[in-house]
Amino acid sequence: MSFQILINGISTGTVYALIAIGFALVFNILKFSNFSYGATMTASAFIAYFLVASKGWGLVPTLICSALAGALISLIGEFVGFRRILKNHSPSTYFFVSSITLGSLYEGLVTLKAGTNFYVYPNFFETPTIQLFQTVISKENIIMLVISVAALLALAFVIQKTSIGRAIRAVSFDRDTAQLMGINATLIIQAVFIISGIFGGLAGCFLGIKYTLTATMGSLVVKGFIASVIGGLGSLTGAVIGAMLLGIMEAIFLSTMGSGWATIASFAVMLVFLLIRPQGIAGSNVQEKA
Amino acid sequence: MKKILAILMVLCMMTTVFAGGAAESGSSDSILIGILQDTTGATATLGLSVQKGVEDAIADINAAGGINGAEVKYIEYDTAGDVNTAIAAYIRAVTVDQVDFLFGPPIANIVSGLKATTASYDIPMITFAVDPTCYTDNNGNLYDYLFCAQPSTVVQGQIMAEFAMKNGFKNFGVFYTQDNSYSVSLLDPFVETVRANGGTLEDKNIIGYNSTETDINTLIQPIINAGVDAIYCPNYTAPLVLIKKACDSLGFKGAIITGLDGAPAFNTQVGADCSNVYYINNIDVYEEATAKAIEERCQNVGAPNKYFLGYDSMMMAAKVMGEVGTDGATVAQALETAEYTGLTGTIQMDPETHMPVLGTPMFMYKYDGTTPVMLEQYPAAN
Repeated sequence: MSFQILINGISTGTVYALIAIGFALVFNILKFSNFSYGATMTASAFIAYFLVASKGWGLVPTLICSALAGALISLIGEFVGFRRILKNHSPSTYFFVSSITLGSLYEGLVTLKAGTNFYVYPNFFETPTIQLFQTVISKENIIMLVISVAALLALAFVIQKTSIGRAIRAVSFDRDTAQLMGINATLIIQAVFIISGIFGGLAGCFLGIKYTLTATMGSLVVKGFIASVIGGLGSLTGAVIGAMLLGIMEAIFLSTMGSGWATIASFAVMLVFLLIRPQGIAGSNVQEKA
Repeated sequence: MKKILAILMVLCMMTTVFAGGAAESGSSDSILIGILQDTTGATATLGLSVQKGVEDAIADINAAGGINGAEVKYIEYDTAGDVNTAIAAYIRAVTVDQVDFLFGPPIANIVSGLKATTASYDIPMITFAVDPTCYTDNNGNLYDYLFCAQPSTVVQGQIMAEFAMKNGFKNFGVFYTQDNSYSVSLLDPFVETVRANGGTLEDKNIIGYNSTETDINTLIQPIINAGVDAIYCPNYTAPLVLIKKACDSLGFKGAIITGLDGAPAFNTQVGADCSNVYYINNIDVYEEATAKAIEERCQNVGAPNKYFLGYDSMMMAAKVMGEVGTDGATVAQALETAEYTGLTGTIQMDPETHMPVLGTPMFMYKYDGTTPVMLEQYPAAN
């Protein structure tokens, strides 16, 4: 395997990791798969494109705008789509239906504004690449990697070392008991949705930079879902490891088998992996609602 | 319960009554044209451009007194870039609205899905898909009512190969979309012409990929590593942008040769130096009359070449209907040998292919930065 392919795989895996983390965070707390997450990514990336990037304001303002938009959309989604379902202790199917509906709504709104054409973020660097020995590395990929790692480390710090992180872990473990201990579970859930939205916004923006912006690009959330399943549903560390493995595995299969077979091989490996280790890499044993 | 049923029945009746209410209909003193285009979806830029061209031609025809005094009306239909939607819209156009003539989709995948349906209705349709297989069944027999008004992919592929060889490129790679009819149909003519002219194009440097793939860097890397002079990329605009970005990010210094989709607005969508990109086009944007027409008519047109094709096709159809009337079978028969000189040059239809004969002008361009530069006309102008 050439170093270049490894770099390509890591670059793809980095974006998958951001998707997977946002996905895993909500799953960790609420024990359901938030399928509106893909559309949240898309909507955030488009908002950043129209408000910031298209005006030539550069990469950092674009990322900040996308992250903030993601947080806001996610917070609204929590209030509109999940709050009452949670409070009513409704059947798990309701979460599934609600998240799918929210996702379709977001996608519809994006299509209404942006149409179904594709958009391209402006180039943020005059010289797009650097040469490292025999390997060419895109500056965008380096920035993506650095920011993703920084975001993941910041999240790990918040979860492990701060009072809000402890509260998140407590609510994740047992929401009712956490409430009896004086933790405001609703507030914590809101915080989780905000953090998840920030990661979604960053992932959406990176996807737009790496590929192109389309109203349906949220479908790539499937890759994040696969990564979090490989890593162990609900495990944040597992999600990152799963995402990196998936990105690298896809790059290797693409370079050795070509398009078409690579997709089949990736899914086949995942199925075999789940047969051997259904609990995922991290061995998390969280039961899903839907 | 009875009340609810009664309300539902009334609603159903109202829906039935009003559903077809918006349709125009042809009459003895008017001719009805259906414009069936991708006006939403990934190829909407192409469809909207064709649509605008046809609309403007109709406006000009009506301003000049119509076709033999008959006013030309039109109805627009959206394929949404989807075959099933296109078929449903086509059937509505020919059965409910009873159009006299149709202008079909701009891309091969949709026309391929639609072509068999056209055999059941005797309404002529000019489409803008350049893959010759869009006009024939599995046995190679032509569909009687399907036509195309621009040179086929066979001609375009050959022109691009000849141009590339003539301009000093010797060693090629090919990166095409293997699940796209247009892309696939441009492959063989290019490869065969390059090899026939002594160029180097190894099988290992011909890479097809599925349109769902996103990691273009990994896929195209073997071609770049092989040290080719040029990569031939007969793909749609969206994947072309990704390919250009991948080539730049991998440090590729050679040329990228694209089909029609490398024409503007590709350059603005890339938003960076496109000086290594060559493409083919139907029009010479610097020719005086064409430049004037672009300035006057194409301010909000994404793909001017498609606008011109739409305009010329409508004019050619009007000429034919002016000569033989609007009976579908008669119009289709006359279209087989029609000839029309318009904004895209002289279109002379070939009855053997239902596409223009060899000799319809095409133009090779490259970018200087992001500015298109016309390099050569094919066939050479006298």
